[in-house]
Amino acid sequence: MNMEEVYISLKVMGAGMTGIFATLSILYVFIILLVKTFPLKKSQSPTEE
Amino acid sequence: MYLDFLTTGILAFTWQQGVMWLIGAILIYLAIKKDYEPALLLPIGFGAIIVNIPFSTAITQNIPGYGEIEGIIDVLFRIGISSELFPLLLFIGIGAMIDFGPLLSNPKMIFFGAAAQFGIFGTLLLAVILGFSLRDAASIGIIGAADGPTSIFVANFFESKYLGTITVAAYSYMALVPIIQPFAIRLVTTTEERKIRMPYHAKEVSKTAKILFPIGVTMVAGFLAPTSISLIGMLMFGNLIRESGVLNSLSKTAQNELVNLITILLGITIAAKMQAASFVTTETFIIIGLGLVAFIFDTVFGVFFVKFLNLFTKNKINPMVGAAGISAFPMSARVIHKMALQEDKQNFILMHTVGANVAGQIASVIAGGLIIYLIP
Amino acid sequence: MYLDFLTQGIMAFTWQQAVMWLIGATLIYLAIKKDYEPALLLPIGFGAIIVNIPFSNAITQVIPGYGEIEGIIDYLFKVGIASEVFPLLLFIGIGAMIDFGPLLSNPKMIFFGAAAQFGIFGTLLLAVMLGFGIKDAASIGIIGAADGPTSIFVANYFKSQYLGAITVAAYSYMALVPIIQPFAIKLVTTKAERQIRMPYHAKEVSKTAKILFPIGVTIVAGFIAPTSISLIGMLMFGNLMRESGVLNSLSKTAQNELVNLITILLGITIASKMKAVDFVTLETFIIIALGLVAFIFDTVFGVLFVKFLNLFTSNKINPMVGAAGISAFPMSARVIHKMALQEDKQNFILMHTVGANVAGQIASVIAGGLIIYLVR
Repeated sequence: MNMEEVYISLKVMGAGMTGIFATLSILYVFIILLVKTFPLKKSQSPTEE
Repeated sequence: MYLDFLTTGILAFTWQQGVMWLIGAILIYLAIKKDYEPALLLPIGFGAIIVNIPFSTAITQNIPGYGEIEGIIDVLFRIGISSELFPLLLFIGIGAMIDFGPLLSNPKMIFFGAAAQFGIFGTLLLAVILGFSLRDAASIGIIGAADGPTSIFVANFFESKYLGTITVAAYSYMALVPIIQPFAIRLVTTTEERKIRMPYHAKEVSKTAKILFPIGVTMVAGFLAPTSISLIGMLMFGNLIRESGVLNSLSKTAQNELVNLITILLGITIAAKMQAASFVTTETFIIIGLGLVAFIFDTVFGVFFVKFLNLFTKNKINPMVGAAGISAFPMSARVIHKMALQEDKQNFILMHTVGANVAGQIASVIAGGLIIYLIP
Repeated sequence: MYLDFLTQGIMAFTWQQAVMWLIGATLIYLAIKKDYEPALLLPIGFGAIIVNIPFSNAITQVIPGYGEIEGIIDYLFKVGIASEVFPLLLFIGIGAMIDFGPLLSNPKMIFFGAAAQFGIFGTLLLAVMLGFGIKDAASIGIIGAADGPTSIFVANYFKSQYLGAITVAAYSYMALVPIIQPFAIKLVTTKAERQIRMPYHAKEVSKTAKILFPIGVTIVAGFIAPTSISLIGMLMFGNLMRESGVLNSLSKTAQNELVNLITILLGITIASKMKAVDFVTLETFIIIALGLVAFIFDTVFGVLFVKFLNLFTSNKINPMVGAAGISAFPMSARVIHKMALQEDKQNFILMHTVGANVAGQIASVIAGGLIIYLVR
């Protein structure tokens, strides 16, 4: 076991999980805005939009 | 003797090659009899046999008088996998198959996709502790992405000599999701928790939103993790073709002919990294073990993440949904939906698990890109 | 900072890249909402986005510690376009789609296919006058072939840095034929001319003639312009499969799966030449404008050619048929047929325009081969 590499792995774990959550959090906001901005109009069927 | 050449092959056969034949035979058996990812495991199994015949011309050989003659499996590996072409083309087809509707109408599910990627990093750490180099450990950890093409992409990027093992492990455990996930989920949940009901408010999503989604995801993921662009870009390219509504013929070709052609070649090409001398080693067994750990980490961490959220919210979420955040689509969503039905015949959580599951597809690709970036 | 890597991408974003995103978005919009060549413009538009994200690994990047890593888009460009494989394979499929019957039963029409290639050379001259090098000018002129694969083939042959812009222009104006051609035709014809009726004597052509046609065309064109053989050869190879009568399964695969598979990749691969630094330039705008000029030149010269012929013949030809000699098949034939109907409800010139149109397909390929030979 190489302690330095273990340390790097821990750093990668922190940065990686943070990165994923950060990216997907932005995507979460993006989806909410997207669905709000382009709502399904009741009068239209989804294929005609 | 004059007819010696007929026996040179069998005389050069090693016991390690015998082991590889056995492994190949087992993979073919599992593919055919158990229906475990047959499209991948059958070609891999057959490939494992043909590359492990002494002097096989399917792999590169030095032929006296002709020099080095490149074998077909090695040619395919060079142009299809070293270049990342096969996994990326496959992603176009996969993107054309996925309907992100359940995620768009229930965007909270996206966080479960994120949480269930923990297995990647947990396994990376474990592999480093066990003595693997950082790059090999990262390649092993990516088994936890629970996504074949992503595993191949990342392991190939790190030029890991374990690519064969990693691919076999990734696809085998994906096939075993119906066994691994229920087991791991039961370890960390009570019956009470598994019975939690979740109301579903079916929200139709507009076509415009569905068209803009793949474009937006690519831009956002591209800014934050540029090393994930080729994976996420191809996935979302396929999805854009699907949702555009004007390219139905292309979308069908991507889902069928493209995926089939690549799949036929992908499995047998992986066998390039299944030559006995490098495959029959202790590391292979350790990696197969670590792959299982990765899938269990994913599942358990996904469940814990939901339990953690439930501490703060009124509308409790069924913790099993957290386990559906892995990328193995649509198996994981279905398996967990069935588990919920077993506990309570009225508990339909399929739309939630599908939402988490497609989020897992996106998250695993971003995880793959990030790990490429983060490992020095 | 520890999490700096997440903001690197957005900090490195340039306004030129933003312009490319806008162009990409516009192309996707036109593809989906206006149905403008969606099979090409949608992938090109999406590709324009993914190659213009900072540090995108879809294109070749130097990654510290790993050296130069080839991106998938650049790899596809190398194996698919630099090698001419994609446009040529596409031609096999296109050849299998075309029925040369209307031309065989009305061979005069072949001259209109020839006349309407004038746009290529007119635009070449104009581009040289505007200061482009002769090879770039030839690549720009070939937009006037009104044929996507031929444009890509020629521009790639001349290693033109403007290949991206040329392809976008060629496909965009092909989509705009229903607007450009009526406008240009009306500029140079009177209502009386557009009302000229043309009798059509349906002549059935024997199967043998249809089989020998692609072979003969290849031999003749090959002797005169050997540099057009790969294009015309692939086109006629596809047509021979179609007409042979014994290869229906191959012919169908060529028309559907082959064309679809290549099309999925062709558009996104063109994006390799749409990186902001090279694309957001004054030259791009000039090329886009010259492309329009090329299409107008084609149309006008085709019309004037018929008018010239009409000076000497007693059976007057409707001058609009001359404009159908461009290669954009079958759009041009249909558009002009509709124009004739608008002027006179009893004037059916479809079989003539289709004849001229398929002749234009042949002529544009020969023009492409000649220009490769003539410009050095």
